[in-house]
Amino acid sequence: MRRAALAFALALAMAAPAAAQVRDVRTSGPKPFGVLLGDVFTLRTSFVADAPYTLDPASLPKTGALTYAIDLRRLDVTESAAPGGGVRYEITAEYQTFYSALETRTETVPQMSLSVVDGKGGRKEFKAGGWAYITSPLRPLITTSGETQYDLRPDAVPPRISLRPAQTAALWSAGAALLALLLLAWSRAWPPFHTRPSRPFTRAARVVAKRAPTGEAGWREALIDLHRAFDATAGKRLLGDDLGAFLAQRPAFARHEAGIRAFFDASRRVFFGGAAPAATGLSADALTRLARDLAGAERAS
Amino acid sequence: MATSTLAAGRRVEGLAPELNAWRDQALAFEAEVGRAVVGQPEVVRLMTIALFARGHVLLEGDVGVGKTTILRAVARALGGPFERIEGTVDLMPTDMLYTAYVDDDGKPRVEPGPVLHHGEDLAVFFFNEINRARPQVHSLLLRLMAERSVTAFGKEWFFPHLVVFADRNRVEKEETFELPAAARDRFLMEIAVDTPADPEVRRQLVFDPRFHDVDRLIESLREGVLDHKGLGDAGRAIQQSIATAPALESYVLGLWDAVRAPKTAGIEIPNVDMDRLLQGGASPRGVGALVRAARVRAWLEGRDMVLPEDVRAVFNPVMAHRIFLDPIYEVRRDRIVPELCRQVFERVPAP
Repeated sequence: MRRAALAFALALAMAAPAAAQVRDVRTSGPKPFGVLLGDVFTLRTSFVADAPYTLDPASLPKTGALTYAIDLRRLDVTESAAPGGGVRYEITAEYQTFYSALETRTETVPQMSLSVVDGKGGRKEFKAGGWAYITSPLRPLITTSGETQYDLRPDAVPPRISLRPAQTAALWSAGAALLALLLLAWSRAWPPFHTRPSRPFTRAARVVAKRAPTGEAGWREALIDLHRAFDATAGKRLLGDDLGAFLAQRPAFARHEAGIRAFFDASRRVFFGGAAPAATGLSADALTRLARDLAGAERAS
Repeated sequence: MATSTLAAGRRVEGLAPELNAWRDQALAFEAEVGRAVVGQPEVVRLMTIALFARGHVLLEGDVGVGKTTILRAVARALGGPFERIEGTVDLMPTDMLYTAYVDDDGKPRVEPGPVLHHGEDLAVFFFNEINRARPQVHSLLLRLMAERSVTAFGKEWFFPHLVVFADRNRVEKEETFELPAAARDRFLMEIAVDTPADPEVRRQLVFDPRFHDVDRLIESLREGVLDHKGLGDAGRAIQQSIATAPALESYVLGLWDAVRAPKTAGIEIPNVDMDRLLQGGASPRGVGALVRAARVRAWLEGRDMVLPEDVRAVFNPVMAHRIFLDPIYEVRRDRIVPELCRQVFERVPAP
């Protein structure tokens, strides 16, 4: 008997905390009538979870269509400390009803199935947040003759959006595009800029870089390409003896005088003295470098 | 003519020692002539080239610019027998070959004239004012220049060492006879002599009494700096030793094409119809002479290869008088031909 009494007391002692895991569950809402199609209302549900239990966030309902006629639009949960070591939760849920009532009737917001967990595998489910309200049609079902104010209104006139900013932007863009085109025409020497001094060394530098390393024949062709660039820059066929006058007229190139003289010397020896390219001491690398330097000097001048 | 940067007197590798010695002599010759002829280094250089290329030279210029002085100075420094004759409208070919006079006994005598006076050793024959002589005289001169021979006293006379120097002034056109094309073609060079532009040289020429007495000036020059009898052999050795690369040969042929067909080469001269500008000229003999002169120039500059610069330096003197223009453009020859030559060198690429 005594044993039975002890077991009962123990069962009570163990049951008491379990019963007290979730308490003080309350739901409050706005006035529960006069809710019409499209209305938004907010329900506040609060409860206290005793330690060590906490609300399982996964058990909260998802926003979206909840029933055929009710959408859950938003759900906020706030926590605060409750007396006795628990946590007070307040769930603010915003609903919207799409129920088009034909007569006055009661609608129900279903309860949320919530869970609290203790972190050690313990779980307790409970329901909260149910609410009922009275909804009614927006207007009488049968239209009274002559009453047009309840008819569908005409569509709103679309607002006239000003095109001025777009026009201004288009104008600016067109101007910028034209300017860019002019710059491109200038850089490529297209008409009307075709008479401007072209950049023969820039062109030659590209060709020389491609040809010079391709063996003896390429090296010779690269030499001739560079000769033609000198000719074009000087405005006549430039021979080695004319270098002094050429450099005096175009001081931008004077910085590379040693390289230029070495080039003309190599060219003389190869083309007119029958020397082998290797014997001139002007390597393909040096030739490419000279062409690049001259192109740089040309841009600077 | 631009002078090369190569130092004078440098040994030229790859050349025979004799040619190097000849080159020293040639430079000494130029220096000697330069003592009497100031401010005309280009003319002196061209004369030297002509001597070693074994060609005859016609000097052309205004009156009093020193054409005769230059030729006398060159003749003096060259050494060897020298003879001169003045061109006049009544000069006949026989006057060059024979001198006729009445001797002490009252008998007419005929002696060898200016050309034959020194026998076959004649080194320089100087024809002054050549355009005043008649075409008959030109034709005798043509043979003397082309073949270095004449027929007189019933036999052939040969002048292996002869060079003919001639001059003419370009001011006078009255009572003158234009040289026939064939005669002009026989002159290796036609050198234009201008008044020196350098103020210092001008001052010297006008105020230094040394230049007032030309006879004494010429006498002050060392005689025979060059061995005139060896010039022929030296000239041949130069022609054989100085190389012309295929690139240079194409370049010269390109120049030749451009002179013969200037319109195709893209040459434009204002107010000139390029289609009818040229009547002829730029003969193979002329281009051959150009290469000969260019070889000598390369050698004088101390190189064993001919460069486009050499061709350019001798082009106008050698080629300009060989370009024959349509008569309507002949009057403007002085402007047209130099412009044509200038543009030829601007158009033909080298290498």
